[in-house]
Amino acid sequence: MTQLLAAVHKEWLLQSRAVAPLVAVLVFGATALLLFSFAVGPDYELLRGNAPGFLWLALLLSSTLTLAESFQAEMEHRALEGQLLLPASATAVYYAKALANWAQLALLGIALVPLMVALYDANLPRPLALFGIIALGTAGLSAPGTLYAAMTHQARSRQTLLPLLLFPLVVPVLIASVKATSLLMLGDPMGQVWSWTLLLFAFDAIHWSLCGLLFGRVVED
Amino acid sequence: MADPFRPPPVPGPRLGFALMGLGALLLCIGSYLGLFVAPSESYMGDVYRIMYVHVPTAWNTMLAFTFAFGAALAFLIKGEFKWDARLEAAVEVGVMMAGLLCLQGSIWAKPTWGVWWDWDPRLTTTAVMFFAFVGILALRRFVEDPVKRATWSAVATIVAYADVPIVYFSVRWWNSLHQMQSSPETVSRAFLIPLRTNAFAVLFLMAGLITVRTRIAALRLRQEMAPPLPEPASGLAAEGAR
Amino acid sequence: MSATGVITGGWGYVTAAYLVSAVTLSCYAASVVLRYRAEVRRAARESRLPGVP
Repeated sequence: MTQLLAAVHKEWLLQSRAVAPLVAVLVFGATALLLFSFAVGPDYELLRGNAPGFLWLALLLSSTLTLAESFQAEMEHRALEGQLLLPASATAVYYAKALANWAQLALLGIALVPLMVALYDANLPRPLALFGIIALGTAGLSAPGTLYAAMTHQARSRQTLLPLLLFPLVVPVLIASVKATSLLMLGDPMGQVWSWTLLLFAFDAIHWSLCGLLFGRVVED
Repeated sequence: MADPFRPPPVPGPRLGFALMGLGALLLCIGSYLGLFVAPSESYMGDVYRIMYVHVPTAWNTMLAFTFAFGAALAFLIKGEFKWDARLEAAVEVGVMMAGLLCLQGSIWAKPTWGVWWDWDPRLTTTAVMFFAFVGILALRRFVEDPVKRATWSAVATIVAYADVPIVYFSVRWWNSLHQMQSSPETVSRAFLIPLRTNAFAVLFLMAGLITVRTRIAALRLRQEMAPPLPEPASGLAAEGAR
Repeated sequence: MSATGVITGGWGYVTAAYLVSAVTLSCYAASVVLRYRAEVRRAARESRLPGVP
C-alpha cells in the first residue's frame, strides 16, 4: 500500500510539473468536438441527439494522446526499469499510472461538457450523474489503455499500435457510456440508466483487476 | 525443469496436410448436399443454404480464438515457445475466419433484411473480435524481441478474449430496440446432415491450417532464437547468410 | 420478398457466399502451404552453412 501511495505521489509530481501536455490534450478534445459538428452540419436536432456520441468519441481519441504520453517519462533514463529494480512492485506502478490516467481523462471529460453544451445546444438536467458516468467510462478507458501503453511505448509504430489495440477492446465502454449519457441528457422514461451503469461497473471491475494482474508480465525483463 | 526459453520443436507437416485435405473433401461433399440435395426452406426459400457454410464457420472461428486463448495461458504459465507458435497460428487463422464470417453474414443480410449489415450482436461481436485480433497480429509484427513478443501477445490475447462476452452483451442490449434475429432455428433432419458434414469439414480444415501454420511459426522462432552465426570466414559465406 | 413472405430467388447470394468462402479458404490454405515450403527451404539452406551447429 505504501508503495502504491509513493507511486501515486510520483505521478502527481510528474503531472503538476507538466501542465502543457494536459492543456494540449484539452485543446485537441475541443477541436475534435468542433470537427464533429462540421461533419454533421448545423442541424440542431441532429447535433443535440448525437452530442453524447461526439463527447465520447472526442474522449476516446484524446485518450490515445494521454495514454501514449503517460509512459514518456518512464522511457527517459530507463526510469521504469529503475523503479522495478528498487524493488517497487509492478502492480503498484500499474495502479498508480492507471489512476493518474483516469484522473486526467475524467478531468478532460468534465472540461469538455460545457463546450458540448454550447456547441450542440445540449441539455444538462443531471450534471452530477453525468460526471459519474464520465468517471466510470474514463476508468474503463484507463485500465486497458495503461496496460497497452506500457507494451506499445517500446514497440515500433507506437502511435498506430496503441489505438489499434485499444479501440476494439473498449467498444463496450463506448456503447454503455454513450447510451447512459444520452439517457441522462435526453430523458430516461424506462429507467435504463442503471443497467448501462452496471455494465460500466462490470467492465471496470474486470479490467482493473485483470490488467493489474497481467502488468507484471508485460514489464518484466 | 528444462530451460523454457529454448526454441520449439518442429515435427513434420504430414498431419497438417492430411487434415487440410480431409477437410476440403468433406467441405465439397457437405456443400454439395447443402446446395442440391437439401430441400427448400419454408420461409427463407433457397437463401437459407448460406447457413451451411456460415454456421460451421461461426463455430470454428470461436474455436480458433478459444484455442488461441488456451495457448496464451499455456505460454504465460509454462513459458514454452511451442505455445507461442500455436498462439500465432490460431490468431492468424481465427482472423481469416472472422473476416470470412463477416463477409458471409453480410451476404446473408442483404436478401433477408435488405441491408448489408444489420448489427446482429453475434456478427457485430465477430467484427470487433476481428479488429482486436488483427491488432494482436500487428503487435507481433512490430515487436522484434521474441520473448517480449510472445509475452505481450499472450497478455493481449487474454484481455481481448475476456472482453468478448462483454462486447456481445453490450451490443445485444444496444441493439435490442431494433432486434432482428437473423439466423433461422433449423430442426428438420434433412437440414442437419449437410450442416454436420460441413461443421466437421471446417473443423478439420481449420485444425490442419493451424497445424501447418504452427510449423511455420516454430521454424521462424528457431531461426530467431538460434545462437548468433560466427563471423563469416569468406565473402561467399557472408553471401549465404543473407 | 414476395407477397407470401417467402424469399424468392436468392441463388445469386448463395453462390456469392459459397464462392467467397471457397476463394478465401483456398487462398489462405495456398499461402500457408507456400510459406511453409519457403520456411523449410530457408531452414535447410541455413543448416548447410559452414560453422552453424
